[in-house]
Amino acid sequence: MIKEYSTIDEISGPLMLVSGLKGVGTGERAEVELKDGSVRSGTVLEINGDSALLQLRGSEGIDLNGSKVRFMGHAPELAVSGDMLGRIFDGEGRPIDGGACLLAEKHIAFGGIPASPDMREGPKEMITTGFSALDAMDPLLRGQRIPMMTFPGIENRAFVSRLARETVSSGDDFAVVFAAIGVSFEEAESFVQDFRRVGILDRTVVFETLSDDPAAAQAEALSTAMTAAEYLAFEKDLQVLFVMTDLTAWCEALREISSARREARGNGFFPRYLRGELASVFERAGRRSGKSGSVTFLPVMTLQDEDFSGTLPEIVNSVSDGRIVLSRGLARKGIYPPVDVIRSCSRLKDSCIGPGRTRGDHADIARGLFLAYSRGVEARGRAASAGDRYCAAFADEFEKSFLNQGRDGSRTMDETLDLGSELLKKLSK
Amino acid sequence: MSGTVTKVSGPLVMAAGLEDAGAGDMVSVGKRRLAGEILSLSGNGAVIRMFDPSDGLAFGEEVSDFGGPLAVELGPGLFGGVFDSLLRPLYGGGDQTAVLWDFVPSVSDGAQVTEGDVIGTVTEAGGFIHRIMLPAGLSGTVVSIQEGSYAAQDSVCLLRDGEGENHRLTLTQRWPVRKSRPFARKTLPSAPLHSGIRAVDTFFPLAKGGTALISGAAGSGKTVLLQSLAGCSDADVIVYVCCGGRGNEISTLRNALSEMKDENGVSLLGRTVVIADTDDMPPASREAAVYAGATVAEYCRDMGYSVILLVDTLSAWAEGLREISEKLGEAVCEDAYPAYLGSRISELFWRAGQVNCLGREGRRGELTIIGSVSTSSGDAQETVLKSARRCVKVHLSLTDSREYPSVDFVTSFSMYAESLRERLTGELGERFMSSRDTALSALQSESPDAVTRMTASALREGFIIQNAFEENDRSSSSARQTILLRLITDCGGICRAAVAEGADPEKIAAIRLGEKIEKLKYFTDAELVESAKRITENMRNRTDAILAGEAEV
Repeated sequence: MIKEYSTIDEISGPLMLVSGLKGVGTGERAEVELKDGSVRSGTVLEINGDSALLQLRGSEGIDLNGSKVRFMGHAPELAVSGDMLGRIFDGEGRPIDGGACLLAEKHIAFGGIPASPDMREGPKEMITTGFSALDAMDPLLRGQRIPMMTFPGIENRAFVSRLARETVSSGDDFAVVFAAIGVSFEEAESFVQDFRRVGILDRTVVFETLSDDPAAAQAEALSTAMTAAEYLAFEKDLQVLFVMTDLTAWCEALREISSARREARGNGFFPRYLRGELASVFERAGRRSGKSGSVTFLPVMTLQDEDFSGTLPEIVNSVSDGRIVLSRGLARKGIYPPVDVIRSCSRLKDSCIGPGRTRGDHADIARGLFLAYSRGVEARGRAASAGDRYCAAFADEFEKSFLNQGRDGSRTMDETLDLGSELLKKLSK
Repeated sequence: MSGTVTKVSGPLVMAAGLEDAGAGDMVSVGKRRLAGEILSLSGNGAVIRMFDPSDGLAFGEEVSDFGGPLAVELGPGLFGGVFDSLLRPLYGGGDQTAVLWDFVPSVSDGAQVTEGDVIGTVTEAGGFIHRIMLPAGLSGTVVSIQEGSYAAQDSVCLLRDGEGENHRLTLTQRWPVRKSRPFARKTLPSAPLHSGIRAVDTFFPLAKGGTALISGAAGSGKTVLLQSLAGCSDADVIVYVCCGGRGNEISTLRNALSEMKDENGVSLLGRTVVIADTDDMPPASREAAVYAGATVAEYCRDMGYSVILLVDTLSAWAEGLREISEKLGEAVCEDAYPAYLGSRISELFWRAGQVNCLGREGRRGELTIIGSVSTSSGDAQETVLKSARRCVKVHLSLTDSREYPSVDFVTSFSMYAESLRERLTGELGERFMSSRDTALSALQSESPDAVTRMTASALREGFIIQNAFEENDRSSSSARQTILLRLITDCGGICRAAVAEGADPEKIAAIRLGEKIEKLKYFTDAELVESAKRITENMRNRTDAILAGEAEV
């Protein structure tokens, strides 16, 4: 039921306080109608007695006496349908590609419903990406939650869209959900064009809430996109790859809202509930018992060079099943993809490699390469003794011939493992 | 609608009796009609931030509401001028409203026009063609339009819209600065921005409609670099926002630009709009200056020009935000900056882009935004830098090496080197691009051998370092960049080949390529081609001699 009030008490920046309310709930959608008839939308952040705190998309021109606030009576919902594939939506799920309105099969509340642990099934099936750095060292699994941590100045789009293509190309029961949150038009548009270039845009649902949208809209967009991913995976039985960029911007949007509400804050001034908020998104990805679909969650997260051990990566690590870390050093050397295999990790690796899954020697090769490469990287700094130089030379060789595959190179699992064991044989000579 | 001042606290003023005013409205405060903006409204009154110094403002003085958000007047007279954050002329321009402009219509009576259409032009004092456009949201039939001399506020055209209502159009239009101006469609930047600075064009290319950041400690040459971008790049319009900093810088900039001439001998000042808000002005004013700059830049973009918005510095802008935030007692984050610092910076950079403009002519405009950040004592982790670096596609990080430009090749990046590669290869050739890649890896090499070291130092002395005061070196054309770069990489290649054939690397490195080519960049184009040939030849002879010497031993 829609209720209308004109009891605005306070307007401060994007926040508005309205009192004398009955039956208004948090998360409810609201509209403010100005004296001149124009309308601003907002969301209820907080309820205190009979008053509500609203976060608005711009408060310009709203006055205390003449403006009216309407509460829409329900939390925001996403209209979903199988026809979403190939379409572009805003953070609230409205089409923005100029195409026709979506004929909704049903409406789902953005929040989704957390799956209880007994409904879950651990990821088991490996996605062969064609990249040796991942396939051999840190394999990607269907239903894994694995952030890609990158740094300003590294080109990660082509890599991400290649990963998406490798995941999708194998059949009709695949889909990509892509959410661009808090990034520039250029960044979002380049992703969309890359998806088009590799030929998967018609299997992709795009959600865009760019950096000119208010923090509240950015914060909300991630659940919107996740709702679509869940729907496609668990109701349409598709294997879904959910790519979002940028997780840092999303966390900062939460921080901005939290600061506006003057909440107690933890490390890095992020709200103390950030881990919970992140977990409630990450936990929605994965596999469910009795369902054939899955959501593989690959958020891109831009870090600053030195804060790899900072607040955000630490929290994100604790709620995910590993991480893919890119390195500026490798990117500068022209190594593609510039995956830093020493800092990357896949917590589910052991459940998908080995005899009967990949190959009997997979684990040994991966371990051998990791040890020799990390020894070589350490030795580079010293390079005093002949042994050090030998180790460092292996590291160079490993980067040049194993990690580096060029823009279009793709290797089968066997090719990757054969190459790895060849390198190790050379080393032991 | 008016209220009264109840409290004055530096840049913030409280006023009662403004219940009917809108949040964000512009107000005029006190007898001196100082400009301010409503920040928040509650039963206790309105909080106003002041764009003018509030000194001398007394309790009970009148506050009147303009009934609209912070907006500026856009029209002829902008070019060559220096303005404050509300676009009020600063350099003794006198009363601008009385100036007469020669208006030449480009449509005639009875024409059907829609929003964004150019209805006529005015030639500014510096020769700049100012296109007068139909404001956004208006369309209809031209009832009358006439050539003649008009003051800014005179009616030049009468328009009847679809509902039969008549509109008087003047040479100017108002636009609220915090709102980005509309366009038909935004597209990905597709053309490189030629800056004339070799280190930038060759290694860290900029794009028209793109975004870039220049960071460095005080004295690392940020302002010099921005000023040469203003003077040498191939944009049509420069909007230079001096945010913070010293008043002297503005005079220096003005003088430099008025002395610089384009190929037609026209002073570059005529294509430049300067918005100045020095450190001694109120913080709110500093905050608004950036938006005013962005609005003017978008307005010129809408005319179909390629525009660069230079913001020097974003740090001072962020400090302005922080000062207001502190006064308001907001919950703050790192270094006491407000939590919305990051989103304000990304909103600003969001206004950049290559767009198809409104209007039926199908004009294309580009707005490139380049901001500078000052890093205190070289600390690269400054909060403003962190936030800004995520929003841009090019980062030029400057060191304090006292060279110009002191670009740090390890931390700087340009994403356009990759995304515009095809276009760049088409313009400059396959060979140039491979020379460029060779040179870049020599400059970034972590453990260089003797020959790589020599090549890198030759690149630094003969290519990267540029003399802003030498006629032939101030701005370097693509052709010159190609000759110089190819010379150095070719010589590097000759040396490497010699070493591969068995020459002693130390002996080869002792040829000291750098010294030989250091002066080359000051030569005229013809001399340059000749000398490059001679030096390459000479290099070949020297390495051959060393090889012959080795063979004898």
